[in-house]
Amino acid sequence: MKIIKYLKLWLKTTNLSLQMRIMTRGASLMYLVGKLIRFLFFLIMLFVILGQTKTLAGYNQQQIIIFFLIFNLVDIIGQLFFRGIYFFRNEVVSGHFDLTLVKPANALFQILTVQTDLLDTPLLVIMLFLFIKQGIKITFINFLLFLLIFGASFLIITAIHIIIASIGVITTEVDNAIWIYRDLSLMAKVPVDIYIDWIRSMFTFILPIAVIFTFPAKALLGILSWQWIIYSLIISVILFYISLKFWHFALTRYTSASS
Amino acid sequence: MKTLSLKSLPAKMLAKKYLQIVKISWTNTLVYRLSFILWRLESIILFLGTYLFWLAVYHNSAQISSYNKTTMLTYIIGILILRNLVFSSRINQAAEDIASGGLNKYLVKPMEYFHWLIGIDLGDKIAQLFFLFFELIAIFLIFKPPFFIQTNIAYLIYFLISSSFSILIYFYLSLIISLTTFWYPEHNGWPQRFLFDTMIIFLSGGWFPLDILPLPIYRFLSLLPSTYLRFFPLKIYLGQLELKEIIKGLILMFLWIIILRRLTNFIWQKGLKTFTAVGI
Repeated sequence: MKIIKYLKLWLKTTNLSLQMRIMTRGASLMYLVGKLIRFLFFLIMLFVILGQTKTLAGYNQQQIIIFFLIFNLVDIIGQLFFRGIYFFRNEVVSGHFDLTLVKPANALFQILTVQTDLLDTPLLVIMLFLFIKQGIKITFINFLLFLLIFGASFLIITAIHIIIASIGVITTEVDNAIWIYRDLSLMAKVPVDIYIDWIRSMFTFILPIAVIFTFPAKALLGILSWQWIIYSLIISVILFYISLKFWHFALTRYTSASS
Repeated sequence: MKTLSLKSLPAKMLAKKYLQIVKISWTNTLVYRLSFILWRLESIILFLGTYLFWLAVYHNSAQISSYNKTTMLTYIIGILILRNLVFSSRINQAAEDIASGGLNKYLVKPMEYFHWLIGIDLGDKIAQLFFLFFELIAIFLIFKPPFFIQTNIAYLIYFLISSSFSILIYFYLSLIISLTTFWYPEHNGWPQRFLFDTMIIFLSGGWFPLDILPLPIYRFLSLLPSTYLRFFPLKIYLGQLELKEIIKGLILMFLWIIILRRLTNFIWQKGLKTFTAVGI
């Protein structure tokens, strides 16, 4: 029952987001073109570099493109569902968060999903086309593993957004925190294996950018060992649990100052 | 709508007035300290992303196009410096002023609006460069990057001239984008800003030197003003241009400044005629 209620709520907010996008067609078009250009430019850069080096940290051109496409897929899914975080600061500063808290739905769900970024969907189609064009053979087992790691990745993304929302409740600082996460995640456009040791370790054990973006691609390519699969599942559950605890702690610090 | 003439004011008074604007901008930049610290951290993360990527690329390759590891990593550090010098800007405030109708309060004040923008822009650049200085020290201590030090004074002078021109070109380009808000005020001008920022990063050589692209593309990009915002000054610093190429580039930059200045004034005058301060 609860799932149906939240599904209806999500469809409602998604519908409203779509209406807002249609209302400002010109703005939506500019955002969309900007996103496509950014995607295209990075792809050009990869082709130019790999055209000269042939490989990057042992990965060939096709593999690097797969990593880049999976990075975009994971990133877009995060953007699609949790766009609301970008508007959360205003809620806290203006005192509107009080109204969210008294509504008969989970406050976290409301703030994270208040907006759905539908502008990324055309990019999803382009990515799918490029992915098929790569012509790589994926076994059924690898596909299942990919779904499993993708689930873990999504759980970590959710946890990060919850932690940032919690920081927002305590400090009213959200915008820069979310951009720091976004900037860090940009480093995973390519497999994190290419970076120097301590950066790679940091992205695996402290800020699990590798688990979020690199591991799903590795699972799909069939090059992720079972130890890392187990690690991904464990770290995602732990992080999600910690983020919920932190959120509940943050709520006890909410001062409702502006209302 | 016209601003009051400032020609009658003594130069000393004018200087004092605009120095005050710079001070206001500096204070504004630092007023939300946590936000500012996180913004600086974000800037460093962006730099590290590009730096570490290129470090990895050179792990197996000694040379890419005309760049060895040292010159490429110097170029990447140069991007960080020019990002703070050229691209740190408060010009997007003009878009917000126009969209919100807040421009009115500047139009009735005894000062030129563009001078106000230059003042706050300057204050912001000083603040960003001040903190960049310490960040660079940290980067050099932690990462010990190979860095090419240009010892030829002539190249350094040309680099400084071209960087100054870059600041002006970016100022006018960015201002033109903000002024489009007169006609398209949705989201306070952010859609056009997003599109502009996305394109300018790549087209200015913010990810890699533009001359590693295929020659016809590079030749085309050389005609655009964006190429001269980062790529051209850094190419001079690295000593990879001949004197006649430098002079040709500087002349082109100067022409772009004149064209963009005239275009800015034209758009400003046209925009003011349509401005209704609807947000007030």
